[in-house]
Amino acid sequence: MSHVDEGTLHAYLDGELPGAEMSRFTAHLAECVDCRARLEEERALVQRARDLLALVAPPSSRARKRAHPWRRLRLPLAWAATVALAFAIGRYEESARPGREVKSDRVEPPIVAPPVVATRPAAPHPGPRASIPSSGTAAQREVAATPTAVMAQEAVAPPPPPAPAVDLDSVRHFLAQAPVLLPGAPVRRVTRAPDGIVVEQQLESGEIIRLYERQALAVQPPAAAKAAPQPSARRTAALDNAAAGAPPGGERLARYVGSLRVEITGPLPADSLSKLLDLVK
Amino acid sequence: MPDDLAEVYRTTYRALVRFLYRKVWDADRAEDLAQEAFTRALERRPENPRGWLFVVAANMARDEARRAARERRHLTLLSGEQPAAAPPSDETLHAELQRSRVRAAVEQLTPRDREVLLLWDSGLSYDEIAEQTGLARGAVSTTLARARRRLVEAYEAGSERSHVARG
Repeated sequence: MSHVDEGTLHAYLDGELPGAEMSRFTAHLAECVDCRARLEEERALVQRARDLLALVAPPSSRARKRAHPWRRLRLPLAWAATVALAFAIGRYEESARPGREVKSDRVEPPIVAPPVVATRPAAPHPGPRASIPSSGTAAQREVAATPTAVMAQEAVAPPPPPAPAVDLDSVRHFLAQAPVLLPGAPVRRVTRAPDGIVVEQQLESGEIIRLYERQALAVQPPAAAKAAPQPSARRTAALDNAAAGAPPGGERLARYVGSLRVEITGPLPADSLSKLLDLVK
Repeated sequence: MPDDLAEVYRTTYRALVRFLYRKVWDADRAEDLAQEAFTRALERRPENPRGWLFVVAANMARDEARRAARERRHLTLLSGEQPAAAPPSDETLHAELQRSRVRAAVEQLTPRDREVLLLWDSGLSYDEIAEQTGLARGAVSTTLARARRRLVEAYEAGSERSHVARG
């Protein structure tokens, strides 16, 4: 056998040499010093090229958000604009309805979001971009409301009641398992959320953090698929969500703990929340 | 999302973003394009979703490059990032310089060499690369060998030029 060519050396190094060629190649390599030397040179080249390409891997979501903080505002602003538009449409429909007077001094019930669960507009397409399922706030109901629904809503229109506290035994029913907690931090309160629960825990420093827990199956499949695969990508979807729905003055991060999706919020920097989230079990 | 596509998503999404990033050089745009590719896969249900996704992604990246080139022609006066709040450290500058050299080296490759190299680095097999690029399987290994060599040579030539320029 004559000396092996460069392509064969690379195919061998890539584990792509077909079986028939492999036996001829290894037999030749065993007796050819030159080809063994070339193989080592090509091995170094393959590694060098791999190292160089690794330098131009896309930056992580977190790094991008640090570099471009305005991106964190983009989706929340879009959401705010959607709420404002929906509110304006609701008012317009109300005023346009025949036989009904509009009182300009009417006090509107406040739009109150349930704790922790942030809302965002529907994704522009049903793609894998993670999105938090709708939690049914007053604002969202207005977006989806038909005129009939608007009337029914006005007839009731109470401000949303505070979420009822639940005991830890009831939690098992909602989550189909015991809740996960931040070890060492006393539980101040557990409340019901649309498809899960919210656990409030107090840190030694006095700050209250909230863990919003729900079954992972309740999350949209693309989001679950996106968040599940690799440890390094574990929080990608969550960070996207955080960018979209972070409450004022706070971050919201999430990860999967067993079969639960857990989101954390609190009056702490994202890095601190991230470390706390890692401790949740 | 069907199970098979969900599995492809789980195993391929990051690789697809990486592949796209090295074509459009914008991480957010790369993610958007990858998601768009998966959305199309959901609609089309291709037989071989993994290979199909890379084909679609490559086409989208090509369109994106054309669009970006048009915008650059028309909007050159509007370009420019906001200045950083604090001057970057030497370490940051060095890393950034290295990245820009690698990027330049990647862009110096011929389209075929670059495609094969990026597809391999995204985890596609020789058979998948052959199917996607139309090359014979045997030609994939020689193309890959050449691409790697040229990448390293272009990077090192860029580094040498930089050292000479700095004296």
